[in-house]
Amino acid sequence: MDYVTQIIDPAPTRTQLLLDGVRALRKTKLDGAPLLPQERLVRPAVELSANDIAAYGRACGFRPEQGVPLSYPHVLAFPLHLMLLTRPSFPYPASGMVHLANRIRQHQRLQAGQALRLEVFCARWVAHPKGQALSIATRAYSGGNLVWESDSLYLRRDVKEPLGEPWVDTLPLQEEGLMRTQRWVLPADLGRRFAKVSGDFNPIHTSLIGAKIFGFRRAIAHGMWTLGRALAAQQPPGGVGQAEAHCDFKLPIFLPGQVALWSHPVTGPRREFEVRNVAGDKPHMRGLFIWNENFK
Amino acid sequence: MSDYSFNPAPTRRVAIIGGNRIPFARSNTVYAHDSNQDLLVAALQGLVDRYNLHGQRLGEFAAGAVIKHSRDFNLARESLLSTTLSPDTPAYDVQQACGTGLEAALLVANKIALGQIEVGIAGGADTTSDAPIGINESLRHTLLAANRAKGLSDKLKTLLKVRPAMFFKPLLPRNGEPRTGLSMGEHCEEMAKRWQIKRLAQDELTLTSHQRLDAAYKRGFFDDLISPHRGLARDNNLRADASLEKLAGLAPAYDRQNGTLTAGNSTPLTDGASVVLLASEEWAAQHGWPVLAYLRTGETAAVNFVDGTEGLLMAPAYAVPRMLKREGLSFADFDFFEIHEAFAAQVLCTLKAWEDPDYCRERLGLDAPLGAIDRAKMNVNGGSLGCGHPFAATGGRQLAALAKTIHANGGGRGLISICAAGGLGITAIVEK
Repeated sequence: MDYVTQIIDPAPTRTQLLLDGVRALRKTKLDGAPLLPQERLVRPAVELSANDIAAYGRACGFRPEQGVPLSYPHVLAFPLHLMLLTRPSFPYPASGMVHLANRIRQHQRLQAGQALRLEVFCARWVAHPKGQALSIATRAYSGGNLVWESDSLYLRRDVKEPLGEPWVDTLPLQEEGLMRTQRWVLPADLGRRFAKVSGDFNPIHTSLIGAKIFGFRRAIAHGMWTLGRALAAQQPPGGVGQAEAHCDFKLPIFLPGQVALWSHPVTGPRREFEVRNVAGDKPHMRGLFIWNENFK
Repeated sequence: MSDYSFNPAPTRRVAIIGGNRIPFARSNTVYAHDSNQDLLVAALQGLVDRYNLHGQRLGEFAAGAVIKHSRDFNLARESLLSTTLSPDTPAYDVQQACGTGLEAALLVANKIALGQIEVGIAGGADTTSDAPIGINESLRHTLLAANRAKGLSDKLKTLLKVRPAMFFKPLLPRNGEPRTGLSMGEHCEEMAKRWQIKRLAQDELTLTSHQRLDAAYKRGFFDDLISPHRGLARDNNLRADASLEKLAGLAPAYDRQNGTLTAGNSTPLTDGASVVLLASEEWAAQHGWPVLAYLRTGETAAVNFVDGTEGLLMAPAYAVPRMLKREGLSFADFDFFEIHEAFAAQVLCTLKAWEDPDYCRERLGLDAPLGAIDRAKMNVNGGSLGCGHPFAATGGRQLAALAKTIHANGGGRGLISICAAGGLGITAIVEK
């Protein structure tokens, strides 16, 4: 597929994203199959700011010695995701798109102060049992090398006969021996706190009224916060070089609340885990985290 | 050859002369208005009175508290200045979670062994009644920013960020492991499940703890180990009328559906303080005090509980075999075992681990299991389940009681084992 590369500089402002979001609340009904948007949005040089990383780290529970969080570049690319989802070329209303899953691969260690070229584009349609899913790809380059990439799966519910390959990429989890290894207390303002460091001001996360308008009984935690918190709990001291973090989002986490990390009592650089309610009978997120031991 | 040498002098035996503690009180009861310092002063003054140390300059006083206010930065020294000991006695704070009291004793003992001091006191105090409540983090950051701001107008601008809500959301002390967010009880519940520790076994251990403590009080065992405080003459957690039926009636505290840990077979939050007098044999002889026992050695260990590969409170399981190997001893060489009872389940997990051939081989690197401990030799005068557990005061309580037990026995050897937050374990050998 031929993409049309558009340079986005400077970054879109919050106001602009908000206006685009409001404009994209309604879309004319599709006549026939949806077309994959052909824009590739590019920010040529985004700095990994030490201050912003620290603020993001505090919101998710990362410690400074853990280096650049594996999930952090997603925050830098997120405005471009929003721009794609709110463009006139995008066939569905942005507000109804549900973040289903994320697959992150890091190829090289990232450092604060480093500049990344970020490219974001709609990669492919995915046929999901619950509707039409879309994979948005993010690619981060440094000095011409691909250093970090992610695929974010968004779902438009209730689309009949969705296009694309069927969704099969579900994560494994060995139930036996799984135990509750951590518990997290989530304050009521967690959504607002994470919005400030991630730029995702979606009202379902930041306000009770906003959440109610969109059909939730209370504000819900950002899925990417949950992933960040899980990685903060498991990322080793000293940061990671080559690493992968995969997650499937399940039931929403209502705020305020408590959730627990369930994982296997193992050391070593591969973790299957699930974020569940404290009782452990309802899943909020399933994940897989793999990294290279950095002291070897 | 290097001409540097730290101290080539041979080490000396460290005598335990005696100890003193105040009765332990359940949180928010008799000592509700006492600070850590008040409690530590009471215990220390009691020791000074008993051993007539008024006006004496000692080698040092090492003590600590686990839950501290920022004003408690020099807790040991400040406490010492409130007693009739010579104010020329140096002091310093120690903190190793629930191992604080025993670690302080090991530090003082090592200096005595090396000949650096002749006599010292180790101790610890803790109150969860007079707990530090911090101001709201946002408010604190704003106040600090205002303090850093240059000029009045910048300071005022910063202070305008203060919101009324900040005053109603203080920072409360947490009863949880910082890295897991799970309370110690939840961690121990997990251990109990892993080691399949039955509820009944936990309740039986608890009952024994209360019964032996009560019996020890009745025969006057604590008469020269305890000074009354605030009208309290014995630990108010002690239930002389405890029974298996009453314990069985308690609901699980940490896992309501499948849990086995209850408020009965777990130690409650407790206020209290304890101190131990340690000296060289020469000092003891000069002052005419009999030596109760000698503090032979200690060993600490830590386990990786964060990823769940080991239970939070299992570190003593590692420390003890290391210490025994170093000293060439086995369980058969011991007459008494002072195992800190944070939870009945934690004691039973540790005992079971030492009997398990696979665990001893794979985790502890032993050819054969350490073996079983004769329960008749364990916590013979009661344990933390009976008297309560003011974190930093437990080590001093155990050390003094064990030394006295050995002395009364006409000699023998005892093991102390304490598990602590952060996956720590502190152990020691006492003998005569």
